[in-house]
Amino acid sequence: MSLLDIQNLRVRFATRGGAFTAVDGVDLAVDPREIVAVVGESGSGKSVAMLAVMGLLPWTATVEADRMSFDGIDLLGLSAKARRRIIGRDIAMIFQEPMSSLNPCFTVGFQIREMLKAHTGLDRAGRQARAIELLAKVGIPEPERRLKSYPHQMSGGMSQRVMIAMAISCDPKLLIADEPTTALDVTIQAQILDLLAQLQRDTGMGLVLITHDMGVVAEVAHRVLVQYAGRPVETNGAEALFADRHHPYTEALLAALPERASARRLPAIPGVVPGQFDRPKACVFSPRCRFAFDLCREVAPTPAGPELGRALCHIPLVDGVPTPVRAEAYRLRQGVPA
Amino acid sequence: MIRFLVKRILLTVPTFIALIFLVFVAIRLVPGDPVEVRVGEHGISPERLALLRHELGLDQPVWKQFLDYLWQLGHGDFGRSLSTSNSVLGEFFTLFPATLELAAAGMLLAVVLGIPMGVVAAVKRGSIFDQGLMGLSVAGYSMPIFWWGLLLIMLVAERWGLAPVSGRLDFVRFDYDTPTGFMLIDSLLSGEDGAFVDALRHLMLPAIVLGTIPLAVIARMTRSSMLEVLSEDYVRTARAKGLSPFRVVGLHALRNALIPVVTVIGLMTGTLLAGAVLTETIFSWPGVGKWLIDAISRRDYPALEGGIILISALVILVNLVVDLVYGVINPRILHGR
Repeated sequence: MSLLDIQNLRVRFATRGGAFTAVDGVDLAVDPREIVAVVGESGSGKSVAMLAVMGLLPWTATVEADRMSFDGIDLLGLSAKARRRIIGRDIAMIFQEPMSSLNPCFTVGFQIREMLKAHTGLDRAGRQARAIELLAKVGIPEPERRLKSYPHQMSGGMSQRVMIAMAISCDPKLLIADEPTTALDVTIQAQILDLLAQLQRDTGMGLVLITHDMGVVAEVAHRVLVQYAGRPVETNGAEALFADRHHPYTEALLAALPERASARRLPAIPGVVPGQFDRPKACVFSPRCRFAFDLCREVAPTPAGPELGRALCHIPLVDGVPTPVRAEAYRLRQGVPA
Repeated sequence: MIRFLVKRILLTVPTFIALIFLVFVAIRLVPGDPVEVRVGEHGISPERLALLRHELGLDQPVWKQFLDYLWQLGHGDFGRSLSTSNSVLGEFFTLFPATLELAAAGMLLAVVLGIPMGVVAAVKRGSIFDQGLMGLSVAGYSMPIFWWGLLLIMLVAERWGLAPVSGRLDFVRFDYDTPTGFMLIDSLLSGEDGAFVDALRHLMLPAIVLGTIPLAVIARMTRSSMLEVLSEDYVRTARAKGLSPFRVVGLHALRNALIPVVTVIGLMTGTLLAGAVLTETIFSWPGVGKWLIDAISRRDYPALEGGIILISALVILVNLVVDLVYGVINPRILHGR
């Protein structure tokens, strides 16, 4: 059974300009001991989907899903109080900006011990001992002294380690890491990523890694969900995905890795993720897709089969070549009248 | 910490000298001197006028008077009031507890009500409670104090008879020593039945009137500061830890939101100490505000100068305390120095 099972998740925000659908029909399953990467540019609704799982969205958001369960517990029907018992203890989350994610008014030790106090029966001495143990575990030297530090006395990498220590303090079954390395120096990024991967191996927890960095995905992920403009556009095992991308967006993301650049100019995907008012009617990626044709602008695609990574595309790529899988698409592509 | 304190105290010395100079010059720019005011319309012979002025040292050049006064202050001597011949220091500290008691009561009211109101308004932003509260706070802030005071006297004291009209105690019923000068404490010490309640009833209306503006300002300030803090990343972290909303808002958010509010509280405490002139006048509250106003009209140079210097010292002290409180609330400030 999956640890986290989400089917057809939809998140809408009430805005002045009307309802805005930030997440539209996302399916995600995470097994124990599995690292799933959720990939996409800024604005593709990756964080929103995960914040919906945590119940951390503002009141303007409406969360709907056919199914959203964790460890057999239905998260949708859960009262706020019951959810708070799970959040932090069984599902923990770390964020993009470690420096601003820690409260500047309290010592690191206080913030870690507070988590232990909320979810475990440890006494004062037990909490202190556990906090020291946790800091040592995430590779912070002189943990006992560091517990007395305030967040502003630490670097970004150090702060993220503290956030990780706090997140794993109650041995969660699932850790959600929302772009945990984006705000850090490149050298530190690798360290934090290694730490997360190592902790995941040691504890056997599930790990959802939200990122826009395909390099990060290649390094640690077992499975990948590619999201674009709130929609899941491709999902596949990491190996299969890196062997062959079926959605043009995934292909473009990978091509945009600086390491793969051969020309003088770095490759980029032209345009930006559509916002609230400029979402295309049919295929959301069509305005930026180099393979798009008439059909893509008129009819919304349906997901392809699992062998094609459930690519949300009329003409999923196979070995980089658009392959019409449905007769209608094929005819249009070939210019043959129906 | 100690270094920070010493530095802050040393920095106040030039402020003080400038302040004394300003007060000294300003009061002498007002037409009429103490002798003329006392003589009034009766007239006086020029010889007698010159003699009286000489006795008070008013025939000296102003710079000489200033230096003499500084010298005198340097020896801890604030001089004697020209109108009562009592020592300025003595008069000030006889009246000051009344002002302090009133200011403390008003401030307590404003803080105890204002901060929770601001927090609730921020958490339920846009709600009826929020809109109503913010409307009221504009009213509270812009309401003329003397009108508000008179209105309360008319309604609460006169019509409903719930509180006395003026003064600090019903002296017809009670008579006891006032060793501390704080009526609430003295009434308890006296052991007289009902004295404490009576003192409290006297304090009620002036405290409400004096606390109204600080209450409005603190509620607004807390609300806007809280709104800002509630969208911070660390508040999301606190929620993600599965903490109760009460703890997230009341501890993680409020602690950060209080920093600007403490500044405002400090500044307002300063102004309240400087004598709630209007409130003290409306309620015949025997405090330093009223005393200073009288000193101005009598051109009582020593009383006025001494009084203003003492009050300034207190305001500076309050600001120092506020700075220290910052450090306790937000460690970044202390470490930054």
